[in-house]
Amino acid sequence: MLSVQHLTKRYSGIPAVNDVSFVIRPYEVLGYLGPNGSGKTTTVSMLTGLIAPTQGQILFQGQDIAKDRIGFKRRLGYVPEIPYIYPHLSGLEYLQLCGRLRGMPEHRMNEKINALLEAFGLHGSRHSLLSAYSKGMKQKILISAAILHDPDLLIFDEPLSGLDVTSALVFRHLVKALSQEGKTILYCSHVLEVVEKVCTHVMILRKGQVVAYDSVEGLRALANLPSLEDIFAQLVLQEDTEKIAHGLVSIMKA
Amino acid sequence: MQIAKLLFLHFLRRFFGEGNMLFATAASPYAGVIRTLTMLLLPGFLLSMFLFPVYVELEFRPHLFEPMRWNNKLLFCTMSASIMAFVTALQWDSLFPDREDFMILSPLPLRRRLIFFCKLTALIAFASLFAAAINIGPAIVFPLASLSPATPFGQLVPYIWNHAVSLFLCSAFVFSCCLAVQGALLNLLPHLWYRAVVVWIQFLIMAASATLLLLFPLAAKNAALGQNAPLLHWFVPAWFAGLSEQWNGRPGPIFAFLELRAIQGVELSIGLALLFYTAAYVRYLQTIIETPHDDGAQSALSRWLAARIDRFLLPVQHERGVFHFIWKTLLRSPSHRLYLAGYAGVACALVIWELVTLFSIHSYAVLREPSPALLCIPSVISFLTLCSMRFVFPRPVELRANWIFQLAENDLGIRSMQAPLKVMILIGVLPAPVLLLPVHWYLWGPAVALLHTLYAIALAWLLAEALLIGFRKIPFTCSFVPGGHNSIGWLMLAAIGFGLYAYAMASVEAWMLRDIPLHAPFLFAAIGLLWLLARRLRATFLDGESSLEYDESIEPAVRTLNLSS
Repeated sequence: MLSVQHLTKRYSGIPAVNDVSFVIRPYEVLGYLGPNGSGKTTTVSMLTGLIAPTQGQILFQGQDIAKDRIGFKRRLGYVPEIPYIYPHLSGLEYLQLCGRLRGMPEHRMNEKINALLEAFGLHGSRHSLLSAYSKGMKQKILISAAILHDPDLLIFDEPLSGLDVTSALVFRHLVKALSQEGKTILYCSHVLEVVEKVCTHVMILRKGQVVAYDSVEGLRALANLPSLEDIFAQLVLQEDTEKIAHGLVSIMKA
Repeated sequence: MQIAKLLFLHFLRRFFGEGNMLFATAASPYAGVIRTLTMLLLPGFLLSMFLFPVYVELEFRPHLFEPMRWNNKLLFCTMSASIMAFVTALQWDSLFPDREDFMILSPLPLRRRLIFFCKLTALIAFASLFAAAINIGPAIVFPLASLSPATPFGQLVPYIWNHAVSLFLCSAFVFSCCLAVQGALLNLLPHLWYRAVVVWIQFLIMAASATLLLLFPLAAKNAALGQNAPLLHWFVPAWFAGLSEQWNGRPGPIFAFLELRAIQGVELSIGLALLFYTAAYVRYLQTIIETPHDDGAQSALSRWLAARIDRFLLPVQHERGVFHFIWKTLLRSPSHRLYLAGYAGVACALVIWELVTLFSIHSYAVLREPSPALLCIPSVISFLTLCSMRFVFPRPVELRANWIFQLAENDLGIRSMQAPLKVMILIGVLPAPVLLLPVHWYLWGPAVALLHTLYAIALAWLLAEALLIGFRKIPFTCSFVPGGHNSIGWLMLAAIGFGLYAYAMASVEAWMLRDIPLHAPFLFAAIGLLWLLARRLRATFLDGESSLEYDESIEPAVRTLNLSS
């Protein structure tokens, strides 16, 4: 179980994330939503230990992760929002690097890597350098790297970015299958339709603060709205999106 | 015309853009360009200025005036050729339009001919800018300093012009030779093979560049004014020094010969460069987009070697991951491998210089004697290779991707930090002594050859351990602040260290070989003790810290005594 308590991150006194608390139990998928700049990636960076929180606590299986950061990282799988990977390594070499850094036995690691590359349709280009991969291919490599060591906690930050329709569908089923295996999953995304289908719970952030946190059904009932998109629009959107779109067309025609 | 101008400027800016080796460490590309051009301009300019008093003094010894002027012209032509070769090797990847250029420009409504023309024009402008920076000082200041008192003042302008043109032609010759080689390789080799040989070509050009400079004193000594020494026929800078002399009306058949060589050389190199470059453009354009980027594929031999290294050298998985990451980065990151090639080139040039100097004094029979001049060769190579690796390790590659190391950090401590040392041993410690072993075996017999190899390996291993003391980073994963350390201090320390390590220790080895049973155990015991000390120190530094460094902390400019607390 992942428990986040009063998590706060300030940059020069300005809060990027302010007093965020949530719990994700095994078999649960928490959808973490919010517009650009709402603090999603900052939260994820604190959870993965890439930045330190200003205040608050993160507990995994009841243990403060700050006390055993390495033990926590061993059980974590992470897909970052932007695919920062080493462009001079091939897809195969990158996965081998991740597996070795995770201390996986060589033979089992290679078997799993080959199977993952086959499953994602990347086996043919496993020797190509990552600099030559498309965005979707890089994303598949990152997803493979995140699940390679069978982690207990998975953090997906915009995992569908660049994926084609088939791969996106596969990934949706993968998230469901992983949650059925008892994994704890945090899923950050802008694609509300997918979040609605794969997540058991949803948290919506605005300007670093929680504006909604409940199960998907609970939110629908509470807001008395049919879809997550409508709830999101009511809670977060402040601009007339249709008006902005018409404005853009006018600019194009000018 | 407007589009051509825009394209020309686009290509010109790409030379100075992000990732360019020459300007990489500057705060902005503009600052980088200014700094680099100034650095290129200063040596020739200052040297020419220093020559003013020398020539004033020579007015009282007129018989030395002409030999001195010839010698200086040879020096400036050598500098012009050497620096131009070095700069071209650094710029190698941007001489030709790359995949990115084609991907960006192909969808735009532009003729291919126009793209080619603009790239070529930008390339010529870029080369001219660098040639000007290298040569402008010696081209103008040196003729002013070295104008003979007997020469009428009216001849000053033609004298400057002739000297300037010969210097610029020298740079142009070197640049077009490099361009012709690149064009020829692009035409002859498949793209993947081309990528594989590029690093060796860069290494050879850098080695040649350093060799030219180091061989200058020898060339000057052997090529006294007016003498038809065989070295002059093949020492490229001498062609252009001769050209300058001939155009300034200096009599002598050797100058006419050198002038002919220079003009033919320039014509041929520019012609070949244009021919191969154009042909390569046509061929490359068709293949570059479609070529698969299987640069990560390994040959059967590489796979076999990697498996042996994994099995015997890298038992811990984390260490294995770090080791392969370092290895592949050194092989594939253009900037890092260029640093290595540069240092290896200098090492190679020092060895050539050492041998040429030796043979210019002694006969070939000197090879039979294990003298310090020969014993130092593996140490010269290993010192520069190991220092180059220590120099490139802190420089990051795709810094933002280091999250994977931070995320997978474990508590293996010093064991995972053995990976950089093992890479250094495989690249910097073992190759030179082991590859030279058969030669030494043949020349000095098995006992001396084996002992020498062992000694060179022990010393290099000690150096590798010492260089890694206090290094608490996974190579290429930590941020790097240029100028954050005392570069001059380190450079002086490296120069002293080089003298001690390569030359003083070679003399110690020669002393050891005079009485092996008496001296060898003592010497190896001393090296062993120092090795243990270095290893202990390294371990102490690593054990004292809880995690590895991913952000470089620089020493504060102002230190306080912290008295307030």
